[in-house]
Amino acid sequence: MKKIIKLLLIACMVTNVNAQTTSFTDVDKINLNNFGYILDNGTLSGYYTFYQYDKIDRHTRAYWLPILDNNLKMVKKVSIERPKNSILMESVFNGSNFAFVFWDRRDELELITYDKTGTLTGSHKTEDLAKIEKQFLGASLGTEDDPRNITVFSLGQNGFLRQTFLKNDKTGYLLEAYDNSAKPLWNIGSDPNSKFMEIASVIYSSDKYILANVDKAKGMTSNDPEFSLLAVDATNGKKIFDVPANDATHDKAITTAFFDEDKKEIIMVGEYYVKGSKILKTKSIGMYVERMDMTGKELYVKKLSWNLDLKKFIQETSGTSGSDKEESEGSTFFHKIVRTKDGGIIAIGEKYKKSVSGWGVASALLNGTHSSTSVMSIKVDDMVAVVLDPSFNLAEYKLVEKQKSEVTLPQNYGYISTVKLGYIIKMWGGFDYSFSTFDKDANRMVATYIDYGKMEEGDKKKHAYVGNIIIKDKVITTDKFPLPTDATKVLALPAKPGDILFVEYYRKKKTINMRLEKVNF
Amino acid sequence: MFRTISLFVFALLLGLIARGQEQNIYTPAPVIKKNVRFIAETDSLNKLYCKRITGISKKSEYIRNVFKERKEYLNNAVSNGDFMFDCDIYLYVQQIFDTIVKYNPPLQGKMRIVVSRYTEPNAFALGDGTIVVNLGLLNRLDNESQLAFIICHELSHQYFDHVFNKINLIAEKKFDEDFDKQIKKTLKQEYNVHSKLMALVMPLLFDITKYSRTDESQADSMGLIFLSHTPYNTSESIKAIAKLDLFDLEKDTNNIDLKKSFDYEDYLFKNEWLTYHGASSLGAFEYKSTAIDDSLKTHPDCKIRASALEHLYSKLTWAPGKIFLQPEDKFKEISYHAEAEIIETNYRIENYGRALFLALQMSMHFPQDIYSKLIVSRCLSKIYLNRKKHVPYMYVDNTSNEYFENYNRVLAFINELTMHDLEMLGYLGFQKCGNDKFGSNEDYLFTKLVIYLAHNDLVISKSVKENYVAIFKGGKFAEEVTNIKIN
Repeated sequence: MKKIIKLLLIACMVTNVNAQTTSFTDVDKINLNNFGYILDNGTLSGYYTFYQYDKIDRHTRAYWLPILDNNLKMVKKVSIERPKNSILMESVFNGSNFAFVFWDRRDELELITYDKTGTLTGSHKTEDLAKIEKQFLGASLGTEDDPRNITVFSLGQNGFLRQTFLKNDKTGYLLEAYDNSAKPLWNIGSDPNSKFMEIASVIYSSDKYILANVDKAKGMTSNDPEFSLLAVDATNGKKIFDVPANDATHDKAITTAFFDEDKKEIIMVGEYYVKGSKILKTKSIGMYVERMDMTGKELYVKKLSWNLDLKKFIQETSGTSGSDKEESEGSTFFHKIVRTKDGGIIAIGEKYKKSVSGWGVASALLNGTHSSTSVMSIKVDDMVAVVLDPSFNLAEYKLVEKQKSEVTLPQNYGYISTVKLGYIIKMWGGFDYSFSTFDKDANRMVATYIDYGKMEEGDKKKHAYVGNIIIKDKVITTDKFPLPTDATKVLALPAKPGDILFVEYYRKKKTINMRLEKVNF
Repeated sequence: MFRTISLFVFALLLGLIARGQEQNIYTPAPVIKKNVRFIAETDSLNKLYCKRITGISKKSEYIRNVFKERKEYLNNAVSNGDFMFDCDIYLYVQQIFDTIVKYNPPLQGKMRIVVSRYTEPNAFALGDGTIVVNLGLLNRLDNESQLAFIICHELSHQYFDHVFNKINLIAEKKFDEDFDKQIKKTLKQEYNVHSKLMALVMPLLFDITKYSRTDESQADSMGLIFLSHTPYNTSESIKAIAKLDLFDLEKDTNNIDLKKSFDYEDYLFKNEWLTYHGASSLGAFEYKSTAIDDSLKTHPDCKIRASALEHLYSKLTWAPGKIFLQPEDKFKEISYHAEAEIIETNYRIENYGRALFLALQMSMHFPQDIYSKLIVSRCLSKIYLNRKKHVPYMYVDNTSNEYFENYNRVLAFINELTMHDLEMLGYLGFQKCGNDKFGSNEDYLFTKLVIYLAHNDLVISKSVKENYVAIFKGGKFAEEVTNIKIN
């Protein structure tokens, strides 16, 4: 359904913009994936669409590139000529300029920059892309959850950062900086002679610093990657440090990291594991938060065990022994971790566990050994919200019940570790979590999921609910409502904090409405 | 002269103070959805103006259809309650219209005026003899003569048949065979279709807009002539044109002191409610204007219009006229009533955010005004009740660079309020509205019902509902009240 809506969105042009909604009508030619989010420091700032409206010659097409703010107001509509079959991969706004990344579906990627009058300020082509980069680009076309930048990031007023790959024997990473006119400034990459495959994922960028999670492994299928945190000076591309996440007592995986502007410290958040265990094969012991200085030296680390700390917290706050499943049943996949203005941490996760699939068993019985379906499945369970105070002590924990769903695994997937399956399920879109929105200081955060439950008693019609977990001032509340529409199709998408963007398709009217809806808190 | 003005100001202040002390609630004009006389008049005027359309060509048929649509528009507007009849605002405007027509015999018998509840500061001629004056215009002018000039301007459009001529021009192009062939030929081409179509269509658009601009200048000049035949003050025409530029702004651009409005002893104001990051997430966009923008304007620049009118004014000799023919206080009263009716319209179309903003502005100007306080409380509770039911969020605008900062700040404020905040601010605001002194007032009673529904006080809600039904059986909220289920 998501793809259908996406297709329709891209296929359309803005014809009517009023206070709360934006409507689209037909255009010349449609293309997948040309609708996306404009991010500013990880916060959703607006949306873009990209669609063809004319043919210039055999190889070139004219496109419109409308830019909408997060209130769905069209702020600019840029006309652009591109080779046919261009895909607009992503966009980032750095407060004064936009960068758009186009891919020709083959070997060429182009970074194009515009200023706020919609004037083209520059472009930079990268030809002969590494195979792995093309695989990443192709895979990212199908993913839809939290809006995030995959290849391009903001460096504030200084320009933009592109995360790419080195064509070494073993895959390496390369970070390239560009100014607001897409002119290359500097680059930094992994050791070309490294014996490991090294992939960097940018998790923080500003005009001063860049933080990236570097994943070092022997190969793509390795179960024991090592993680390190790379810090780079954004003004000149010099490495500040690259420190391993593991410490003397535990192995650690980095989920995210933040830069504390006031204290000039870095806060790293992730999960920790038994020393020497294979991270992707074993269940984590708990989550950790670590503060380090700008040389990469550990200042403080707080480890919260699922079995001890969490259970103790539930006992103390609820006066009960706590539900068994809170800390023992299955694993938790953390979808989003943010840092609040006061220095605390909010984490949103979803419970899941491996189980025997009824459908898989039936299928195996019916088809004998020819069944392509595994007898194993992943059961996707309740939502989890964790709030840590500025000292990283547990301040609030809530398990939000929702309808359970099941993802049947393909044959042989049953042998893959639960942790690794979490990432696979995430890639497949098998979790019910949709996205999180939060204001710049993360004072208010809303995590949205789709609950495929039943309507209230008396109404047997199956219906999807939009579930929301709201965290404000360390208090967790929930809000849930049926998708409020009579549209043929509807899709809930991320919007500004406290809002959800509903995209409604009315088949008979051939109309698509985009409208913002409030979450009650 | 000074003495007269001082006396006026004194009288006005006395009026306001008196209103404040007495704490009367403004009673909005009734929403009238049936007017047999108006419908019959529409029919006869439409027939009269359609007589000019002869022949059975596609072009004639097109023009006939346009006029048919205008008739339908007017009939629908009446049944929607979009027009105001038999209220002081209507009578005031009608009086000005009658005066103009009385002194301008060529306008007699073929034209009429109507006041719409539309909130945009505007007036327009429909081409069938109907001149529409929007409510939004009435509190934007300084005096009666300025309003008279704007009516004269619209009458001039009708006098010169500008609307008909423009429809005719569009029809001519629409059914121009050569033009049609060129369009079809272009559409069959494979490349650069869009730019070739634009090259064909743009000159047509330029023609139409140029024609419109010429019409506006002609209507300004003729409007001044019509006005000069009346006892009104002609120099006010130039001031009225100069004011048009201000119509794109809020009437009052000052920020509202939200803390002053929503700080209660039992519920202290929270500074986080004032969080405002600007109108748009992408900031203010810089707009590069082009020569095409100027060519596509339907109206000449206001400064050019004012200067042209001033030039005409200086060339001729005019009799000194009166700024007001009706009592001066009446204009101020009409202006206030128009302001209140604009709030009513916004409430009626369920734009609670805008109604709340305008009521806060009114409350700022008239601190003792009860009507605006009732609207503020009622809107907060309505927003609460709608949000609670997850009614699609169409009743509060989103912040936008198209709006002024003062409005955007109120929208951002509403956005920051939690459900509990909405409930409490509505409830506590209502407690300051006269403590049932106005219990027999329809607006007061309905507001009370909404407030207590939001406050989840079912006992009081039930009793207020019964009270309302008993007193206001056919009242303006009767249908809504009857449909409210209190369990």
